[in-house]
Amino acid sequence: MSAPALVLGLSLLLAVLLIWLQDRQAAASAVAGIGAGLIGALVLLGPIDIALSIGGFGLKLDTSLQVLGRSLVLDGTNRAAVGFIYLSAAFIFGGGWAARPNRHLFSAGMAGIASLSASLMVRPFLFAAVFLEAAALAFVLILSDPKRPALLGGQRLFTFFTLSMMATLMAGWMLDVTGVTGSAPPLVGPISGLLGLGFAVLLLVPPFHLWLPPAADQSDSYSLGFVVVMLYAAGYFFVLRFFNAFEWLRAEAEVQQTIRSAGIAMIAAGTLWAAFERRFGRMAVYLLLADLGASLLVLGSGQTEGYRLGLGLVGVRTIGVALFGLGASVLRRADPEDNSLDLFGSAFTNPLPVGACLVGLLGIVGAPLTAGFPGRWGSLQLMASVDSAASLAILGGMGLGSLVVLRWLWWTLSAPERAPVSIALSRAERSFLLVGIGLVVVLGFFPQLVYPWVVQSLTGLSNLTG
Amino acid sequence: MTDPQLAMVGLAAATVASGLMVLAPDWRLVAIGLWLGYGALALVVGTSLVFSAGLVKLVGGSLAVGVLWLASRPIRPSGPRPGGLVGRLGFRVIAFLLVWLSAWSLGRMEWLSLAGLSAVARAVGAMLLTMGLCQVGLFQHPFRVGIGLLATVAGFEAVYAPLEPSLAVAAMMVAVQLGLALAAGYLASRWAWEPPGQPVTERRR
Repeated sequence: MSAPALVLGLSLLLAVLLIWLQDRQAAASAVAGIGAGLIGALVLLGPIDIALSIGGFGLKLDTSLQVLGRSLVLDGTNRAAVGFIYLSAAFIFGGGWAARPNRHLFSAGMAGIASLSASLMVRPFLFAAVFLEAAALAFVLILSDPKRPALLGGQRLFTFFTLSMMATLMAGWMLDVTGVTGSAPPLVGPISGLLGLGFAVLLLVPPFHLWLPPAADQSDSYSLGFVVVMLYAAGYFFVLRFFNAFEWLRAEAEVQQTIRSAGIAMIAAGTLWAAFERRFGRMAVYLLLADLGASLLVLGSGQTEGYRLGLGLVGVRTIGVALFGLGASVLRRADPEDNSLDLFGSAFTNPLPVGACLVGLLGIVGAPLTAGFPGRWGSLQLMASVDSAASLAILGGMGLGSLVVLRWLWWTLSAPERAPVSIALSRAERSFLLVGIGLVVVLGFFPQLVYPWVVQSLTGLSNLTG
Repeated sequence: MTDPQLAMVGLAAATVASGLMVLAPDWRLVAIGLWLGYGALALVVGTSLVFSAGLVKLVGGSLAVGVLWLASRPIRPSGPRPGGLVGRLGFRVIAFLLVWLSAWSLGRMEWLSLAGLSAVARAVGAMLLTMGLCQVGLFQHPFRVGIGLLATVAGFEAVYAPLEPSLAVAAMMVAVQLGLALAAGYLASRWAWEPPGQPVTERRR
């Protein structure tokens, strides 16, 4: 039996089962969370490529699966990355019950992460672009909430990812067939342009973030958080694999400088947009954009430590985004059709969901004593020796981002124009919110609980680890 | 038929297809335009590789058009709203002519002839790709955007399929096109009762 076939087969089987369970959210959340967790554990710890004897029967999970002349491979080079995708999804699925998200989250989400994991397993890895596109198509269902249809967000998402797929495939073909290196100037221009377009979409570099603001207005926050975190993580792995495979790309100073410039622009634009934004959901996605910019900055450092930090940031982002999404989803219950999410005075009526939102956001901006801080601090130290403008951008992003969140805290404590609606929470929902807040704070003090195993995802990329 | 003659036929088919997609107000003509575009793609692939490969592209494309057709039939997506600039036929004709010229010159670019790509592949590819993007840029309705994206992917395939003729890639591209048609059809079916573009609260006011 082949390990990729087992992983993908189980995921798709679960996706079908979850369609049947989509109106029973507690059951769907439990099945999706436990299922994704078990698949993640199988990927990370399973006896792949080891001969076993069970009750006299010989069993061996092969590392590869051949499909129409291409192969899907699950081995030491990508096990940690695939495991990360499943465990991150399990974390978000598990909390999904308390968020009461879009009913397609679990089934389409499971199909989407199967596609994302296939993107990490496919060889030659250039074809990952097709699987990323397939995942984006599945995620359109998640963004289109039956209660609040987000047509523009989903529409722009698949438009951008289609462009990215075509650009990446064409650039990959040119790289493969013509054997382009940094010393082939006539072809470097078109290839760099195509790769730049493909990567910019995957890493949400403006203007390819434009699917986020309408989705923030109209989609369920928890579901949107899932889509962003998963697509970005897989896109980041894909870019790292590109860097690992093409020496000229990672060694070219101009490429690194361009990536860093894009990162600085994302941090500056994200924090400034957030500062002037009065809609809570949009403000949050702009702060998230600034956080994604920090990941881009360390990617542009061209150093192994930078790649490690980038993966660490991808890992802890899941926790902050999930906590924010959980709090925002609960708050939206007061008026599901209200996009502005008026929070004036709501700290007194709904302290736990408001606290979850704000602590989640503080984690996203990398404020001290939160899960995002150690990664940001490490990035700051690293970039200080590489590019002073980049380190200033990180520092400025943390500072201004924290101030934006504190301003919203002030508003939640201010006297409201109309009395906020108090949202009834069950004991279990309260526990979920409290555990989430606790997790963000605890990981601020003990980052070693998450960073080392996320960073392991880099071990398969031997050219990046030196 | 010689290569330049085939290129002329392909270009003519792609031009008619693009004209229908960008200019026609009736959604059925727009869908037929996309189907014609797949015909041009089949011509390219059938002459560059083998006939059956072209047939596969035509069948895959027809399925995608069929999915969009079925999803859109109950709501009958109308043409562009008459009030806006895009609603004016004159504007769309000018846009069509400008994009046609860009596509024609793009199809003659040197770097696209890297691997001995035929003239017909370059002409059809550039035409469908740019007209598809034009469609995506001009319209907001998911049906129109879906048509535009499918045309863009068809144009891309006209160039990419002769370069990368593997069966796995062909299968994946068909799957992507069906997925695109399903996603666009799903969003188009929702448009009927909830047009996008403005937050719900603003609409309520």
